[in-house]
Amino acid sequence: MTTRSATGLSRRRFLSGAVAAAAAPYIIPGHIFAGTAPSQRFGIGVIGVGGRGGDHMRTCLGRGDCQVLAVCDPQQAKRDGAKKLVEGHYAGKTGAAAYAGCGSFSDFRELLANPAIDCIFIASPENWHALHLIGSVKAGKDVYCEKAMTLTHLEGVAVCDAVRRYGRVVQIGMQQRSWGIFRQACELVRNQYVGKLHTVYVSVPGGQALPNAAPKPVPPGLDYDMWLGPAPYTPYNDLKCSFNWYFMSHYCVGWIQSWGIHYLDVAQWGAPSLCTQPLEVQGEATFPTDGLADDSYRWKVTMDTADGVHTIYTDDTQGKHGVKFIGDKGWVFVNRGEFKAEPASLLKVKIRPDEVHLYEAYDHHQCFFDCVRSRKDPSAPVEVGHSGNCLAIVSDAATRLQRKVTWDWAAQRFIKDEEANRMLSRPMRTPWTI
Amino acid sequence: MTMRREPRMLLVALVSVCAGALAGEAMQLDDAIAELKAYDYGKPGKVLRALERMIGQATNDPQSKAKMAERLAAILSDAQTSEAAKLYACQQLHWVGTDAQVALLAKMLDDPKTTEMARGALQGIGTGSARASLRAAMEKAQGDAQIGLINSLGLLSDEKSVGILAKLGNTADAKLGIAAAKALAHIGSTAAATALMEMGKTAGFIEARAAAKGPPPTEFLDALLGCAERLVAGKDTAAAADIYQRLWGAGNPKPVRIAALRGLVKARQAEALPTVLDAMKSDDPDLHAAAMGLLRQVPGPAATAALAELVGKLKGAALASLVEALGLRGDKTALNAVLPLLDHEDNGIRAAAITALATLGDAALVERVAQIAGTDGGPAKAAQACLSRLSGQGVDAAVLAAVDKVPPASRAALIRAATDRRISDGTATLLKATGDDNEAVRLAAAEAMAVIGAAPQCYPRLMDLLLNGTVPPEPAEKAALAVANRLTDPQARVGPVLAALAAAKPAAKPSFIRILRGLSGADALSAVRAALADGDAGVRDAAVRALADWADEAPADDLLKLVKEAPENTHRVLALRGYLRMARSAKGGPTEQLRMLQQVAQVATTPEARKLLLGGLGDIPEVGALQVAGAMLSDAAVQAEAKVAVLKIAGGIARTNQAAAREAVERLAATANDAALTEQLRAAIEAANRPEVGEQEALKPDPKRSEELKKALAKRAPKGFSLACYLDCGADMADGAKGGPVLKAGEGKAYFFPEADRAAHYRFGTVWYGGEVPFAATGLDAKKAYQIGFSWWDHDGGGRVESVWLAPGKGGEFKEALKATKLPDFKNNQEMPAEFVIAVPPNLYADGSLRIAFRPHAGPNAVVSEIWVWEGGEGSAKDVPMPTMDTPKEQPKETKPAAAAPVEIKRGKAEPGRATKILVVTGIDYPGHKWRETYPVVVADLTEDKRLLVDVAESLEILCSAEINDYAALIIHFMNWEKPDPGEKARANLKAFVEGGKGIVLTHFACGAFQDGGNPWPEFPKLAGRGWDRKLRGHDPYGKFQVRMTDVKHAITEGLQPFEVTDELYTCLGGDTPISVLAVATSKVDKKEYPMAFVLDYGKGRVFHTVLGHDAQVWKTAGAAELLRRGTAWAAGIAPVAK
Repeated sequence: MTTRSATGLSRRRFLSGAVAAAAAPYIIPGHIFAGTAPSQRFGIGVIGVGGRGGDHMRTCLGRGDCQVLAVCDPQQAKRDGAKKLVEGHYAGKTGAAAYAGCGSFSDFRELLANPAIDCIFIASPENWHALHLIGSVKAGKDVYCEKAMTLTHLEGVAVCDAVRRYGRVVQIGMQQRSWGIFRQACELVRNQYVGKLHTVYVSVPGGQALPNAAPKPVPPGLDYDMWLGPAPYTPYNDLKCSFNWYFMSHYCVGWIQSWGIHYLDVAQWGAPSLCTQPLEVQGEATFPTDGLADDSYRWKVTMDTADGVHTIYTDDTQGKHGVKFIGDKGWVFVNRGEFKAEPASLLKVKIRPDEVHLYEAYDHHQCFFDCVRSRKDPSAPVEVGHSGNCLAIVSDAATRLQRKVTWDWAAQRFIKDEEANRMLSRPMRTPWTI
Repeated sequence: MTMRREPRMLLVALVSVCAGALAGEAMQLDDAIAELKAYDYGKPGKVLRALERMIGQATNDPQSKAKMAERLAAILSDAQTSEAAKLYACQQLHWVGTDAQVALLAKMLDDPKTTEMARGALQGIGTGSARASLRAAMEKAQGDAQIGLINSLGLLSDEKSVGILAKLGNTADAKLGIAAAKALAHIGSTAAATALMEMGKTAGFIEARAAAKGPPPTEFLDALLGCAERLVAGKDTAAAADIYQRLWGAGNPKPVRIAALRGLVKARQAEALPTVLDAMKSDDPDLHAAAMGLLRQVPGPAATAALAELVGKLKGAALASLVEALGLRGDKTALNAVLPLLDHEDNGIRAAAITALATLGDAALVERVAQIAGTDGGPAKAAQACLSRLSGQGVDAAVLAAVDKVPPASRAALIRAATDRRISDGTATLLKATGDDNEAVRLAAAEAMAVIGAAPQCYPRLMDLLLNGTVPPEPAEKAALAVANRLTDPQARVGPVLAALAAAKPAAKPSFIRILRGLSGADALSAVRAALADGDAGVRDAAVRALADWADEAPADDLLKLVKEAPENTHRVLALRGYLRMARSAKGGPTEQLRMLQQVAQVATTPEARKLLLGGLGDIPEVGALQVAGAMLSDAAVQAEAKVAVLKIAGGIARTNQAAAREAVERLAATANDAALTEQLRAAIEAANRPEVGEQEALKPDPKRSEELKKALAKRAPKGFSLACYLDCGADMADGAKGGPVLKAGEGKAYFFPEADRAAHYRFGTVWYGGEVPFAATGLDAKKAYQIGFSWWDHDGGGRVESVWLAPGKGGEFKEALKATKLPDFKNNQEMPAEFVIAVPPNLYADGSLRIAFRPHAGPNAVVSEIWVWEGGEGSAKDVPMPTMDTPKEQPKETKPAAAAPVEIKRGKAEPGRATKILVVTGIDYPGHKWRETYPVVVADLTEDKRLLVDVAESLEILCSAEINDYAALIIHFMNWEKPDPGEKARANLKAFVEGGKGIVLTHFACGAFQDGGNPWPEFPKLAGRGWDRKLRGHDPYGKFQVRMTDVKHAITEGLQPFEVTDELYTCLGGDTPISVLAVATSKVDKKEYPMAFVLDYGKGRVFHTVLGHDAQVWKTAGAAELLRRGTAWAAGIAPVAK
């Protein structure tokens, strides 16, 4: 019989003979981790070690209950840099001259094959999220995945199915869900302190255009086939493989999706009918007229629910950055730095025990690890990741079609709109599929 | 001349795809399709973006859509079409393709080069014929191509594929087999499930694993799980359960087994209980944990009983989460299992149990939970919440009944719960509780009365409580007011309070006075008024405060009297404030308001009172207030305050009541005899009435506005040039006169950066933008010189980088005139708009016309705020090399070359005797300081001294150069608040320059130089003697003041007479370096003296520093000019001489 930790969570594989032997070089003395024994530490793998992935990796390095065991990136320079950082960090901690315990892969499937890895952080471009997420949960890992959860609607459905199928804990990187002021604002709205909600304003940074770039041979050190993944094959160029992919539809729907999801999520949190009732959506957007970018960079979309909530979703040149909920008795406004209300007394309201209380969390990473221990759902579970992403995808569809569309949550389809429905999925490049 | 023109291309493009498009317009689509064929990676993608918009539009109408699909498909069979264009077309067909394209796409499936893109399009089309073509191709294809086709059919859930996929069921190729399995899973029909199960028995790749005693590949098992889920969704739960049962088998990988167990619960519901209980017995902790989690989801009492049985077996967090789960299930049969946990030693477990009991428990629990709620800490909070949430019959009654049976702390908790529960029949309990021995209970009862309890009974009881002082007054007063509001008979509100007030001891009276203030009305007012004469100071104080805070203006006269007569200063102040508040909202309108204000002005006789009054008046933006404050301008004792008040009020009403404001100003001008104040007032009114430019306004052509802007630009034209054309971009489309130069905007769109006009003049906020923004100038004269000026701004921080290109008007290549340059970013760096001037080589407009293009390099697009043409005189054309451009003005840092270009020095006219060289260093300042206008006047002033030779450098880079050593003194005539500072080199150079024995002169805002975007040079205030301290008040309002000499013996000021100047009187200098003050002025605002000029020695060098010089006219003032001239001579080491 194997040992059970006090929390009920098994870290048994560290202790079982065979694995312990295999993992021996990677075990770091407990005092380095504030007394956390290896059996209770989470083995961490990071897929995609660019800007966001690097942040997650550093967060994990700083936690006593984590040990980063592997990194994955199709760009050799990035994964080498990450591996060096990890190994340097632990070498410094242990005082060892050299430490070589961080695996480094171009293919995420090799990383997932390591049984010592418990949790995966995914920070790849959006077109990869679904495959990385589904692969991880199939391998029995818990996952923190960057937003937007998936590139397409169909992928989102597949992710929800897979996560529930295997009962894994998955936190989507919509960190406002673990941020006190956003919860407070939404609780005020949910409990009708602003009266009957009628209008929601959502504004986020707009995207950008990009220049054209000449096709070039794939540079050494880049596994371009793995970089592209399920995206259609187009030749390599110098601009697409970092950051700029946010604005190219093969890899991401732009900031109407990838930034927008943060505050669309706040909107759906405070106004749940946005994600339960049929939505009438229409909007306009400005798209670059040339260059590599083909996602909108400026937009104004309205969404109307049957219960009379009118949502105006824009880039923040057309509205104040943040979310404003307006009811017939007042309003609340919230963004990452401000929390305002009318009347101002709402800011001091304490929600009564018998009123609606929303998920209380104060740190998105901490919440994830707490849930990995408790096996409960974290603050931003996949269903929320999916519905928020749907709001972005539906908004984008309306702007590309340049007409009103009606979204049916129950059917997960647009009503009587073939072209819009076709936008819900994309072919994946062979051999990838969900 | 201005005219409006719409952006052409987009408009036409949109029209062209609408049904019934005219032949001429259809050409647009033809052009686009033709252009698309030639598109390739890396080439301009304009056509792609334009087509996407057209295609989106086309979906609005079936005919247009069909036609569009046809056009896109046509290029696929064209040998001229590039691969990139084909992929693009197929991706669009995924979106808009129809059955009409299926045959063509089907053919492409056979070609390895095009199969991938074609199957993508067919997957999107997804009709019966599209699926049939995919199936047909799949049967023939091999390798990756076949896998791709299987994937597409799977994602289409193509049920007709089951048969073909089943045929692959015996394959030995794992990749192929798994692809087929996944597709079958997506189809998820009963037939698909049968095929999958069969495959598990027959597939070569699975058999191979079995032979090695391994389970089937995870991907295959995952397909089975996926298929089973779809069966459950399709209500074929029996077939699903079969799959799950098989996967639950011990030989399978653990994650699959757990998933199967979960599936069994979904498929079999309560019938899955034995399997789950069986799993609970597993040695494997993960299986055990999963089973326990699932037990929560198994419906029915049997599962509850199984969970309840576990209560005795678990500990710690596991037990807490089990208890929580029981609570969430809400099955009350678990009550008895949870109840014993109320005595658990672990507070966490107790809290979890209490929380669960809120749903599992009933009225019988109330007393027990109340006991816990009355304890300190521990699970008290959970208990209080439980009392509030406990559901079921009789709970409300039990809550009230328990009050008598529990200790005081628990009684308070029960009363709070009664409030939360809105128990309406608890009046008797509350009344009784207000007599409780325990104050917390009494308080809870009083507070509960505010929400529940019958008002007619509770109201008098609250009066009693306040009379007796048995509860803290503040919450009890609040409760009393809340109860009063619930009294159905308004007459009953004041009576009991008056009675209580009459009966109360002095200490209790203030409470009733405060309640009366909340109730208001004539009777309440009479009583409070009477309390003013009370013998007790505390009562009088409460009365004054209540009157000052009264809801309406009824006690205005009482307050007036208090202002005049109240013995205590605090009361006079309170009364005055209250009175002014009432005057401000006087119901009788302006006349009444004026009357009230005049009355209080008569009463406020002492200077202190008048100052206070003026302070209050300033906050009343009404005509009456302006009149009353204006009348006090002639009162010497309060004149300064009166001015401040008048300015403030006039500013406040300038927009809402412009006429009254102007009238008041004229009256003031006639009576106050203070020209400066009058001027300030006029300026304030003007400023307030400058229309705020909304987005729509800004984008409208406005000839009047453009004329004003043109006038300003004409004034600034370089010598020998005049302004020929000017476009306020976004609003103006063309400008120029027939026969002369005409400037026109080309392709682009108008936009206004919202709120840009708050940061700078709105002309920088309107922009003409696009991917590339072209302009055309025509009517140019080859014999004349031309300069193209423009301004731009990255107001919204889009990260814009743009270059500027010129080309001959009638053809010829574009040449780069300004390299890629980062625009000033306001949003992130608070950078202000930038201007550039480009001298145009005559060969570019030999034919009389010129094209100008702004190209984007980064950011969302290219923007231009203004563009204009300066025209030289007849025969002025000089050959200018290309590319060329003027020295960038206020050029942002990023565009500066790493090695600083030599700075051009504008040389003064050398004349005999001019031996002492002075250099004016300028080129950047806060936007309010027009350095281009001031420095020529400074130069002219200094040139009056026949010994000085004055040069000018329009760039701080000069400070990095050894060239400064040629000069005896530098005039620091700049303020560089934002990055870049000229850098370490400049700082060291300047310091050494002075230390070594040279001189510097600082003017006006030079005291704030070397700010380096918030990282100021610490030595600078020492070098300058004093430096700008942003914590201090900046300056008096712009206006006239007198500058007086304090040291008439100093060589600079000897014999200088005081002089008057219209300037900003700086009050913002900080520092403690010893200085010798030469001249001062007295602030109108605070009556203090501030140095206007001073000197110090620094090393072997000399520093003359004057804060005068806001604008050019200052240096045209004889006194100021002389002071500067003499100071400069002194700094340069020669004797100052009188003019």
